[in-house]
Amino acid sequence: MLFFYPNSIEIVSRRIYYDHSEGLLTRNVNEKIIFKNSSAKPLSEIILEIENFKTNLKIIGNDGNELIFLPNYKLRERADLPQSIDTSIKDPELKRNFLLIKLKRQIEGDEYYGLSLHYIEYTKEETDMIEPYERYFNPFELEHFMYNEAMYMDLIEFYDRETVTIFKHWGNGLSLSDGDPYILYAKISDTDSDDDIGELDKSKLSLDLRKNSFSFSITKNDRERFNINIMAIFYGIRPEKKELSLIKALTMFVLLLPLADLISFFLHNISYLFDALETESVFILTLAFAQTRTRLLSHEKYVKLGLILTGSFFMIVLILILANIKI
Amino acid sequence: MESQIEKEYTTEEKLKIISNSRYIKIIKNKENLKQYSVYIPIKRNGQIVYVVVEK
Repeated sequence: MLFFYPNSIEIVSRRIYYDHSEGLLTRNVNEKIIFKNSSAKPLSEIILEIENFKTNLKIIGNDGNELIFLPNYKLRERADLPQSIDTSIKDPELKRNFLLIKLKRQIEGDEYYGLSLHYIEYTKEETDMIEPYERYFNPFELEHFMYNEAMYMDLIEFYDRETVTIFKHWGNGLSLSDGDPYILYAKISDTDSDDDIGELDKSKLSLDLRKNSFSFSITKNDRERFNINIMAIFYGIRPEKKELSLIKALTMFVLLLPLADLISFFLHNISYLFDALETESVFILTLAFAQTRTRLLSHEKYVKLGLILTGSFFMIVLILILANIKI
Repeated sequence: MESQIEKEYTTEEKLKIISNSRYIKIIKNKENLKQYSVYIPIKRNGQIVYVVVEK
């Protein structure tokens, strides 16, 4: 369970919004945490444990002001921390992340307050047994013809009684991989056995799955019902199939069109050669600009390969024509 | 070479290690898992595969 301090606050809910509008490789996350000061004493700072390091983290308060937060090493300097957090921070093996958040104004007793955590996350990168050069030139490695899927994993731990709502959104031209999301959970246990892990039944979660988004909530009751200790959401984001087919067809044209230069060689006509170059340039440019819509990962290398082939064929045929070499 | 005793991880620890790892590998065959101490079975495209990280 995630740690928070002081114990007198009640973390009511967390809404985590993942936005994939900037493409496959990155997503912007907005995590809204609502808590209540359950004590009569005004509150000027809180300590929250977070699941993992957040890149480019910015914390905004209820009133729209950016809040200051201090990392682990500043917490280590504090003498007034409870023993549990003190030990966790001082043990680097545990790799726990805490934020000491300074609130802009005091939160009165029984008052609710909201914090928004904004950060960036990146796709999981897959290591591969195949060397990059083999992948590049091996025409039989069709699986790697284009890297068309970015895989994400979200680890969700829970603060005591909170309700967590997950909302993921992706733009037009992108889609969720088949069968996703895959939601795992670890049961409360100290051992490692196959029984400690389970797949969360999506139908029991009231998962709302749509063309451009999916969302669901987990309450404390749900966690007790399924004995959930920690949850992991796996999913892939990929271009829509029709976009992928279109871009593959375009790539084939870009790679095969340089062969058209041979026609000008056989006809010994330099004007055909320049016409072919113009057509090839249009296709290469179209392929390059298609990246903005399809967001394919391995697109760039085909643009480069197209350029190399076009340039090489053009120069060779031009030299042969100028040298007046005929077959 | 002297053999090292691998630490046994709980499921929670394994999920945390995978979550904190930038690089993962998908292994389709369970027999190829022997060299990895951290792996989690997941379902991709209807098939059980294993997400592993190299420690």
